[in-house]
Amino acid sequence: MGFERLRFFNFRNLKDRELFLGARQVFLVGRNGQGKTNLLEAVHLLSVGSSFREKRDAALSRDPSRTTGLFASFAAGGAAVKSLSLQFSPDHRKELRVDEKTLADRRGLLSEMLCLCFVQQDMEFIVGSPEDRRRFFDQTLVLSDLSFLDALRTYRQVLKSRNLCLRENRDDVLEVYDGQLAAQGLILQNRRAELVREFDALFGALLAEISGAEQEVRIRYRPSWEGLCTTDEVMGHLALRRERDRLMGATTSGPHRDLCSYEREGREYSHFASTGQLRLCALALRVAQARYLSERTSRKPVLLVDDVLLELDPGKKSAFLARFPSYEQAFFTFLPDEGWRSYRTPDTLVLEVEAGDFREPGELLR
Amino acid sequence: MNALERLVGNLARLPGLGKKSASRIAYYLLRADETLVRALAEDLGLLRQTIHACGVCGAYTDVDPCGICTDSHRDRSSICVVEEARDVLTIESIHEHRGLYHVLMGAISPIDGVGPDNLRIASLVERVSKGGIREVILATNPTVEGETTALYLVKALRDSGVPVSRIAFGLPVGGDLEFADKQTLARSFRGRNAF
Ligand SMILES: [Zn+2]
Repeated sequence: MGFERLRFFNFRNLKDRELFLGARQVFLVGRNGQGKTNLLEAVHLLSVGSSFREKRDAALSRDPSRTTGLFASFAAGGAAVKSLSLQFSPDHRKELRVDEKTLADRRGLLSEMLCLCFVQQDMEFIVGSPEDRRRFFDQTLVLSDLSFLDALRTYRQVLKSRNLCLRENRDDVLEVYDGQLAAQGLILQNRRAELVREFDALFGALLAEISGAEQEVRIRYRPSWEGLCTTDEVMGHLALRRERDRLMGATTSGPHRDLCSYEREGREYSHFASTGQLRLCALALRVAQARYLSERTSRKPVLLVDDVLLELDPGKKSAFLARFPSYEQAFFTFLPDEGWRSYRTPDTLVLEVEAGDFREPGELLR
Repeated sequence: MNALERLVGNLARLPGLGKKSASRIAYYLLRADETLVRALAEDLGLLRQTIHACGVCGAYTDVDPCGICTDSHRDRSSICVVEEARDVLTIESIHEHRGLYHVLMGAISPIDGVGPDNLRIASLVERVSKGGIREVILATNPTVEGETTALYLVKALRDSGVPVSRIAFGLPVGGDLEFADKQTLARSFRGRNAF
């Protein structure tokens, strides 16, 4: 069933209230700037523990001097209803709860549900910084297996310690960190390489189908430690680069420097593709992600689809919808005149969004 | 503020206690047996005066060296290395180790400004190098800090030629010895790996 109820206060421009959802599809219809995307963001926060567009939690509060709260009841498949809550207090404390139990961090939330979004920001996965591009694959790996999150966190912690040792000339401990960095880093590198290999085929086929042939776009993963396969080899590499690392005061090689690129005929796709083509790429990536994760985790996702259909011409739109991944529940945003009525099913809830408030279209007539 | 309010306030500052459990304890003490309350008050007063770190192993004790270090029935050729003094109690509770201990008083963590020199590592190397030791068991926490410390110790003890092993954690990464259940910990201890 997905999200049944949603309640929020002091969140963005949304009027404090409770919404009853309880439909497989939820259409949010309204002009720009009324709060459609804010609602998607609320659902994303409750599902994943973070926003898809805002890094600072403080920016989410309408009045930063007051606490912001998001609450929901959620049920996936035939499972029992769970209550989710997320609160940000003005002193930057964040509290996540599932069924009244406080979670130490968002790891616990990720094991509860699978929520994926199709948003404008997805383009950064293809044209953004190396960090943005890696994020897509890391996110997919974390969602398919939480042990990847542990490996990622351990790697970051070791990296931070190693960098400090480089700056403070603590050579006695440096060698110990080299070993740990190598071991943890190789875990990340191998998992990313394996994922990109699987994704390349899945994504390539989807993109060709949605875009109507011609495009042959390949994903290429270039690990910073390319060609190094064992801990000893990596440690040797780190030893060779130690003086350079010391001068930089930071570790200059490793999975935090890995590159991912999208290439067509061997050329970086973002250099010559049109915005429309890149947008299709991002869509195909998300569809591939949803399929991959549904299969891996045997869970149907909650999908958040923000203003994505709007940009597509009719042919691509129907090709995309025909390949739309199966889902537990999906939220779509539409402009009032976007022809959303034709997409409705008997299990669709339509909510009109205006000035941060929601109402079912029928209420207009009353 | 009266004594009751002060007690609740102070108890609530202790690890693992919130305001609620603090007031439950305070109200319990208010009606509890007189001897219990007196014993508690007395022990609290004597705690800092009589309990010190053992000069040999670093565990807390009222005699120096401690009862474990002087126990002739214990295996004096085996040393189990732990981060904190309270970890000695945890390892003792699983009855797998019949040897001695060495408390490091922390773990290597450059971010917190803790390097090898801030820990009881030199005294460990000295103990091991003196001879008579046949096994060093590293039981630092399964965290990045604990792992770093273990790997550093392997290096530091290499010259001694004494076999070093690390307890095999099936424990969650980032866990703490203290919070592991006894069965898991006993299994980890028995399944320790030689470096
Ligand atoms: Zn002792």
